[in-house]
Order: sequence, then structure tokens, then C-alpha cells
Amino acid sequence: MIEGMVDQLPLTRETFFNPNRISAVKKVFPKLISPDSLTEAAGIKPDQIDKCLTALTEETWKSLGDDPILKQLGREKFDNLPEDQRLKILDNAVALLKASKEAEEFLKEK
Amino acid sequence: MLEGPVATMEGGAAIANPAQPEVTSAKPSSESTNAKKPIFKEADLPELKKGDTDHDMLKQIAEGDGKRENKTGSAFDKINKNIAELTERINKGEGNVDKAKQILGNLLKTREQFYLSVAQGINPDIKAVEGKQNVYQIGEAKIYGSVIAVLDATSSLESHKVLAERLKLKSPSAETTSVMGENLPPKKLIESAIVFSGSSAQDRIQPFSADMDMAEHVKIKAKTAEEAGQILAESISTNVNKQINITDSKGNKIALHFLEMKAGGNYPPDAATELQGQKLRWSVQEIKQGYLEYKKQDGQIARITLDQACQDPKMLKVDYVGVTDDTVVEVTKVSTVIAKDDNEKTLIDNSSGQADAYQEIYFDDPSEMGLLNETSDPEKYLSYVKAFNGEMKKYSQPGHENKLKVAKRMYNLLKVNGDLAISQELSGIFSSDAAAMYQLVDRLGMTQQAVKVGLNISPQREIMTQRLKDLIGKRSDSQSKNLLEILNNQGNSSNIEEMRKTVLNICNQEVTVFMENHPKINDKMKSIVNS
Repeated sequence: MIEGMVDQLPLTRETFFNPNRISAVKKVFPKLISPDSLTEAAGIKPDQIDKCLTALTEETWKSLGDDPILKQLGREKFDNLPEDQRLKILDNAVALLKASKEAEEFLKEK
Repeated sequence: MLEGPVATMEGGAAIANPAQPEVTSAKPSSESTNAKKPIFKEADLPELKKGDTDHDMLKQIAEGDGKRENKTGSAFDKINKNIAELTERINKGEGNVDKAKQILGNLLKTREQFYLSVAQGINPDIKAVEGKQNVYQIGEAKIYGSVIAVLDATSSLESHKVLAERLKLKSPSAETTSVMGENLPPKKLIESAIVFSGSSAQDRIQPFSADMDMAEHVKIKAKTAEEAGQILAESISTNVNKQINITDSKGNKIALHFLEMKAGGNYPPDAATELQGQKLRWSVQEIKQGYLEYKKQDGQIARITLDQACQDPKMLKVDYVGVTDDTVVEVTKVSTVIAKDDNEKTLIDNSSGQADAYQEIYFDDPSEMGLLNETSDPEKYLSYVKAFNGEMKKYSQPGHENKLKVAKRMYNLLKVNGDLAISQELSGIFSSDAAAMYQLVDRLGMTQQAVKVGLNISPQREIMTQRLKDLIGKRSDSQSKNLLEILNNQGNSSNIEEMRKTVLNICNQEVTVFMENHPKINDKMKSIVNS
């Protein structure tokens, strides 16, 4: 089912199945893209994944836009990076936010 | 992919330009704000059950900026706050310290990963060494380091590899073994890796480092501490020479002239009163003969052998004066020695325990020496932060006041803590004329050391003095005029200490003005120094 669906997409198979792309979305929306549950992923429209990534980009810049290192890079430069590099940054940004969240929850414990 | 409106941020200066560090603003331009149209509506959400975390997160994004206005504190601030709180909790030993360390380690690791991905966007030359965790290099240059270290290094450092190779301690003898009558290749008894450290390893942002600092990591295999001491002593004796001529890979020549070696800590308790508390300092002759003599309290002469000193070397440091065509520079090498037996029992260990990986640039793949760049190790992070906090305080105190050093320590702290934009802003002070003057006065001080070992360095001194005069000529402050007067009145016999004091005042003044113009950095500095 997935195979057939992907073949019809304007995206190439490589782009659709790019591990970084999947990983970046999966970190925030684990059930949306789940390699363990391909049928679930099949229920998602490919353009929704694009939208998720666009949303993820915006979210990252909202959350970490004042991160000094991200500031050094600048949004314009970010948008001009190759897709793989952008995805890697998003992927790592989400992982960082999650690690921080975990720390926050631990610190709340007495 | 990622089509649709693209918001542009101001600036975006490339980090690779050391001459004009530029700090960008996180505030989006009005154009970019207008460009941010809703791009993800609730209708786009996949059909997941309400209350599902993923659904909620998607919904949160779909709702856009409106609900974020009341949000206090950014994610970045929270990350730093969490790191600070975890650090405090660990330091105080509160609660589950092991778990806190694990969480801090994970947080530091993910932050480093994030930084790496962004750093590679800024400087595409930074690349991970394949199959090696936490080891990075710059382009094709065979120099390595942690991502935090390679950010401030340029591939030019590779030209010093010849120097590093020459100063590296090597195995003086090898243990041959045979199995079933067949000889196996000789086993190395000593292995070493040399690194550039401190400001020498930060040539991208510190163009005027006063000296060339190297650190060496030495590993020794031996059966006993005595044997390990002998191996180390033999290696030092073979390595050290009165003069070492080096031509680097770019064809630049430097002659290293031995000044002294410190090894074995202080003179023993029976040493004459005037030697008490003094470090053992070895000349080339004493190293080659394998002992030094000292006067005891009873007037008798006693010996300390190099083997003995090497069994417990304490600080092991060799100083050279390096002479090139146009300058004289101090070249130092500090060696960390770890000797173990076949059962991994430690025989010698003079390591300080401080994290070095934040500022070290290796000429060999560090993982091959078993040296890991563990910049995400909470223990090392904590010790580094503690040490640099302490140094900032020390150099802020009357009597030790050196604001340029405070700024340098602060730069490294900011970088390690993730405040890269502020650190880049601060780094501008390192390429100022005052910093260049400081370097020249320091190096003029080295000319006196060079004269002591019988070198004729008049041409170099003239070149450096003229450079210093040119820099002073651009200034009109009273301290600079004072410095020029010292130079003009005393010529080559200028009182270096007086010059040092004056140039230090100039630097302190320059840093003070810089801080006044950069209140955010100033506040940060004060908060660290007064903490």
C-alpha cells in the first residue's frame, strides 16, 4: 500500500523515506511516522508530513530562535541549507528540547 | 519540501570570520513577521484520538503564535537553567545524584549534537570523524578535537604538526616477545599524543596569543613505578636537546632553545632553606647526566636522579624559547603521564583531573590513544566550569587583576555553556590593538630569556619594538604615551616589568570600556565573578 502511494507522489522515494526526514518528524509525532507501523503511516497524507516539517521548522525557531548558536546561523542561512542538513538540525533540536524537558521533570521531583 | 513562507532573520554572520565577529539578533524583522502566515491548520491534523500527546502537540503548533505571547522564558533559557540547577544539585549532593548526572550527561550530549549540526551549517569544514564518537576535524586537515574545540581552530594549525611530532615523547626501548619461537613486533612501552591547548588552539579568534602552549598525553606500560620512571626518564633524555631546528609544512622555520624542565615537584625537605618550596628545575646537562645536585641544610651536596623525579613527576613541563625571523616566543609543553601495569594498576598519574577536551586540538586521532573527547561528561563539564569560574574570580581580585584573562576565561565558559553569540561578541576584544600590544610586550620579555641562553635576537627585538611603537602611535591615551616613553628612554634595556604593568593597565582599561559598551556581557561577567 505504501509502495503504491509513494510511487504516485511528486516526491522521490528517497526523499520520502529519507531517514533524517522521518526521524525529525518521528521525534515529535512518533505515531505519525512509525517504521514499526507502516499501515499507520500509510494513513497519513504525504503533504501532511511536509506540513509537519514546515511546522517543526517554525516551532524550532520559536523555541530555540534565541539560542546563540542558532542565532549565529540565522534563519536565512538555515533555509538555504541542503534539506539533509536542515533536517539534522531539526532532529537534534527536538532531541535537545526533549532532553531539557526530561531534566525539568526530574528537577520538579523532590 | 519546506516550501511556503520563509521568515528571514536579521544577520546570520558566518562564524568563520574572526576579524569582525558579528552578533545577530533573534528578533525577526517586521517583514518576516508578516510573512509568517498560518501554515498548518487543525484540519490538517491526522485523525488521532483527542487527548493523544501527538495530537495535542500538533494542535499546539497549528494554533500558532497567539497562545505563546504569555510564555515566559525561552526554551534556550530553560535549557541553561536546567543545566545550572542540575549542576547545583550535583555539587550539593542533593537527591539522586547519579540520576542527576545521567540526565545532565544526556542534556549535554544532545546539546552538543544540536550544536554540531548547526556548527556544520556555519562552518561546513567541520566534520565528524567517521566511526569515532565526539571526534571532529576541520576539512581535510589532520587535526582533531571536540566540536567545541574545533569551532575556534583553523586548518592552519596543521602546519605545527612537525613541531608536535618532534617534541613528542617516544618509546626509548621496546619489549620484544616471542610466541612458539616466533618473534612478535616490539611492544611500545610509551605512547604519546601532543595537542595545542589554550589560546594557541584558538587561532580563529585569538590572533595574538602570547605563547605556544602544548599539552602532551603520555601512556606508559611498566611492571613497577620504578620501571615506569626509568622509561619516562630515558624518553625525556632522548627527546630533549639544547637546540631543536624545525621547518613546518609551510616552510616556516623556528629554532627552539631549551630553557628548563620542571619535574619531580619541589626540593626535598632536607634541602637548604633557600631551596625550600622551590620546584626542581632541570637543565639539559642535568637531564642528560640523569641527576641534579642540590645543597642540603647541613651544607652537604645531595643528588636527585631523573628516574626518581619521573616516578612522581608532579608537574612535568618543558620550556623553550622559540626564535623565528621576526619574533621570539615562549614554547611550552606540559605532559600528563599515566603509567599502568599489565593488570591496569596505576603506577604513575600526574593528571589534574580537569577537562581538557574543550580546548585541545590534536594532531593525531585522540581515540587511537584512548583519549576521548568527553565534553558531554558531566564530571568533566563540572570541573571545567568550576576551574574557569575560579580563574575569573582570581583575575578579578586586586593584585591579580587582569581583565583580558578574565575575558578569555569568560569566553570559554560562555562557549561551553552555549552562549555562542555573546562569546563571539566578546571575542572581538582578543583581536584589539591592546591585545596585540600585550602579546608584543610579553614576547619582548622573552627576548631577555633568549639573551640569558646566549642568543643574539637583536633583529627580532627591533622588529617587535617597531611594531609596538606603531600600535602605540595609533593611540592617544596617557598609558600608551607612558609606554612609548619607557620604550624611547630605555631602548633595548627597557624595564619589561614596568612595560608589562603599563600594557596590562591599557588592556584593563580597554576591557572596561568594552564591558561598558556591552552591558549584557558585563552583567554576565559580574554575575560569575560575584557568585
